[in-house]
Amino acid sequence: MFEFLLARRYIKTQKRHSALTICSIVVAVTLMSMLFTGFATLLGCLRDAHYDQKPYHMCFIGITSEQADAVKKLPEVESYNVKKNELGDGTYDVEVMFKKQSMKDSFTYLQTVAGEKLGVSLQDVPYWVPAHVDSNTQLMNDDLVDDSARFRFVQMLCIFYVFIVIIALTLRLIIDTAFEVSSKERERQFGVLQSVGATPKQIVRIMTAEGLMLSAVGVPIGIIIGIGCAYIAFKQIVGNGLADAFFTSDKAGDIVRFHISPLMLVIAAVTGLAWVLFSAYGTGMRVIRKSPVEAISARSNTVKKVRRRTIMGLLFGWVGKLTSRNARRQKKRFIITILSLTLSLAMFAGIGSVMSAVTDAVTGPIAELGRDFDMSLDYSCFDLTGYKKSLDYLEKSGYFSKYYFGITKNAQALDSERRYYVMYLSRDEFEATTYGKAPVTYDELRDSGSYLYITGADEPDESLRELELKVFESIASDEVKKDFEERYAAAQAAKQEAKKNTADNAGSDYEDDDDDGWDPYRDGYIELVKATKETCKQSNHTFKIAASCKTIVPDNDNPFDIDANYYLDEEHQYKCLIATIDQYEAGEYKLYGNYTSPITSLNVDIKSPEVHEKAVKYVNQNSDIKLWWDMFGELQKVRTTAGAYSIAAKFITGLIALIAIVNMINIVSTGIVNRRSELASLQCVGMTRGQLYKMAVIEGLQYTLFAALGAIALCLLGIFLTETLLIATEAMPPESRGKLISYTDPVWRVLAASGFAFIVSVLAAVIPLRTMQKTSLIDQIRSVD
Amino acid sequence: MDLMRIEGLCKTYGKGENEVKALDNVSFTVPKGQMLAVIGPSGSGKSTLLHILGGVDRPTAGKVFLDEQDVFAQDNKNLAIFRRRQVGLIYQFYNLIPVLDAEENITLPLIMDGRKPDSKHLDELLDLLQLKERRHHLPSQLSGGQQQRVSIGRALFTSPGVILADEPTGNLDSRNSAEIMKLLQKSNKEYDQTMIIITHDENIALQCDRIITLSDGKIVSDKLNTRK
Repeated sequence: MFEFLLARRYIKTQKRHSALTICSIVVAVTLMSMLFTGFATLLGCLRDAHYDQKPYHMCFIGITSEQADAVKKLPEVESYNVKKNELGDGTYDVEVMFKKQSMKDSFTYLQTVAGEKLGVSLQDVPYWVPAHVDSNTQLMNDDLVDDSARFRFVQMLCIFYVFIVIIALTLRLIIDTAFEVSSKERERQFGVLQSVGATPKQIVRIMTAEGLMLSAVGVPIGIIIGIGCAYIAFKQIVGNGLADAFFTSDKAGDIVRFHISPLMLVIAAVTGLAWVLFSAYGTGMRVIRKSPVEAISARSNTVKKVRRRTIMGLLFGWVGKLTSRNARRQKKRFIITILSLTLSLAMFAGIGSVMSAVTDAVTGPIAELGRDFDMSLDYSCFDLTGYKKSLDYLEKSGYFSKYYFGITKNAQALDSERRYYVMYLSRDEFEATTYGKAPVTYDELRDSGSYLYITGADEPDESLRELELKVFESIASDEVKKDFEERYAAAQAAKQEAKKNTADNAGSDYEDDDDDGWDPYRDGYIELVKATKETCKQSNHTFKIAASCKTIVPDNDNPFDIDANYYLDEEHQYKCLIATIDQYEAGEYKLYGNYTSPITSLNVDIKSPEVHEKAVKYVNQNSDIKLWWDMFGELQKVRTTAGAYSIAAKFITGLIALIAIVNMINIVSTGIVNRRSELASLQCVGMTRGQLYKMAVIEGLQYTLFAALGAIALCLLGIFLTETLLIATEAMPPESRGKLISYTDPVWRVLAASGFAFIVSVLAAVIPLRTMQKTSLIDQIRSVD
Repeated sequence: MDLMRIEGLCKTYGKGENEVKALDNVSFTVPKGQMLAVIGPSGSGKSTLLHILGGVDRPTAGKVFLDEQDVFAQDNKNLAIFRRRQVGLIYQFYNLIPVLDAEENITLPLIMDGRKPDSKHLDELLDLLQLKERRHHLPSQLSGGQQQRVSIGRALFTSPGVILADEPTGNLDSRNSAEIMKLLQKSNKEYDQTMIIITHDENIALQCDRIITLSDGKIVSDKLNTRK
């Protein structure tokens, strides 16, 4: 066939064009293969997760040995696993995996097998009795055991395929560009071929044959690179903790594996091939639309109408005018490019702003708290210096780097009802509580044995140097003490027992105690406080005051926002006295009787994120320490989930951006190539190369400027409408308008992304221009003339 | 006084066995105001000569002087400015910019130069070209003859030292050809414009002051047209 002969000759002689076309095919097929492999991996992971939950299609529970034999012999069964029933009643559980497509409908099959062959009537079994057959419907669907599963799979594949086709239709432009550039080069040859007798069909066949031959090289390479890229993307996604976010199983690491599906690759290859052939065919059809004479003289590239006044013309003079008029020569493509670029810029900026707002929402309260620790613990040290045991235990692990802790006590002014909280703080806690702005240092307090007086809303009283207060000696009555100790011991014993039963779930013991049993933290605290109020002894003690201050946190009007002021009530009846833990240990503890009140806190930092899980387990193993707030873990979870959504959003944005960029490269580069002779003419009548490049830059600017303006408008409108909706549904107070997402934030993001798009567009124009400059002006004009 | 001086011009394409000499040691001078026709068979080097004279292509060897200025001693940028200001090129296929209307195409070299077109001069020229009614028409809305007149207008508008025309009537019918030649002769006479016209057509050559015949890249005859 002469079509194949000509196509082969052209491929051989025009190596650069052929290489460009092959590269385009590779890029397109790579993307297809990547998406299909990603889809196969997702399906594979879901299948593994379903298998992990129940490693069978069906499990026949509590059947006799005869029934078990009957199950084994079923023709649909591929493999089975017989286990003795846990009840020890001599019956068996048989786990079965069925062959693919072995039945029409799994439910009917179940009724037939269970009812007829095994002699168990499912209808007779009350709903509260565990069924005799447990079906893993999800796994059966994954493994396409019955017809309905196959139907569902095809349905899912079709939905995915529609998504792929939408992307494919837009991305086909990559290949279109390559064919268009290549056909433009040969427009004259095609004209000549037609003039010597080639039919339009034959011309189309030449292009199609060329597409077929180039696909033979491009498609396999694209498939291989696509698998590689999918694998890299998979590793990145798994590395970001997405597996844990989506699959809560402990075995998430085993479940999330990379899957390659031959079926998916065949679909990707066929789609890619069809894609290339459509492009080649489409280009062929465009070529034959011109008459042989038009093709030979290339005179059909005419403009019928132009817009006289344009924004670019006003901004950049005659070069801008030329640029905008040229863009409108391909009006449809111009609009698609601007729209997709606008959308991708808006999505990029919108997602960035939303993610930043989410991160702020997560980290904001922590920032407002003004504290930064990884875990907040409480310890049940019911003797005066018992906290040391917990500290020693934690230190021994080597998982923690910093310890913020303190002990809070009560005192009362002799002359009034005014109450004081006396806080003995560790060095780190002292620095954190006073935000490093205390008028006296930790060492000064320790050395002088004095206290820092926080006066709340009152002005600091500098003259105050000594404060005589009643100290509550927290001694409970003997009865209360005895009762408490007995119940505490019983609770400990119950906890140990529970631990034995559920050996590998130490954390949940506490949850159970909270709900059902006697909780030393909750109930013991109430009883001890009750004891303190009703029965405690009180003694007078003089507190030396080293310094006093109003509130510690600067630039904060609300005294309740800081830890030290937490104990101040609205009338400022309660005051704070802060001393060091060293003072407490040096003897101040003797002021407070036998029991410390449980108003204690122990906040810790972990040494590194890697030890977090071990640290949690370690803390949970000690029944004296309770993990109140695993801030690090919670933050990590939020970040992982936010990260998962962010990755998904970025993927969609990336795809839209890719479409936009491809469209832009396509329109800019083909625009330049198609105007080759025209640009040469401009140079012949005196246009300098500088002016030519300026035109290319303005051409790029035109796309990014319009898209950026559109994207900014879209983002601002999006924020405004979201806020309006939230206010209308009372999910947000009206005064918070503008605080949810900053109106200026997306603007900067759009501008930054537009900068990138601008560079790409300039490169798309400058690269073909530079290539063209390598040939003389005469050759450029002659290429069409 | 000679406006143009061409010395030992050579242009070679290809290398080794494929080497083709398009121009082989071509030398001549052109006095100001002369209308010169260059004729010769296909492949004789006519168009190559014109492109080199217009600064569109560079010679392999030899020099071109315009007003005693060595054209190819200039860098690419200055060569573009030279084309813009000192020569006017007319092509067989007009090479107009399709997105610009007739008036914009004519004034383009001046606009590229950052100058504002003189509207009086433009009106006069449009009058001369008989394009006043068509000044805002795009090339696609003009006939072949009209497009060539726009192309001539573009070449004349900056009042360059020399007009170079490559088969200016090659794509036109006899009536339009005659009109274009009249126009070129008129501008040659009225503005004392130097012109070099490449042509196949002996009738057109005979309307010029001087005829140079090229063959295989060499000048085979250089005669003044006594029959004009």
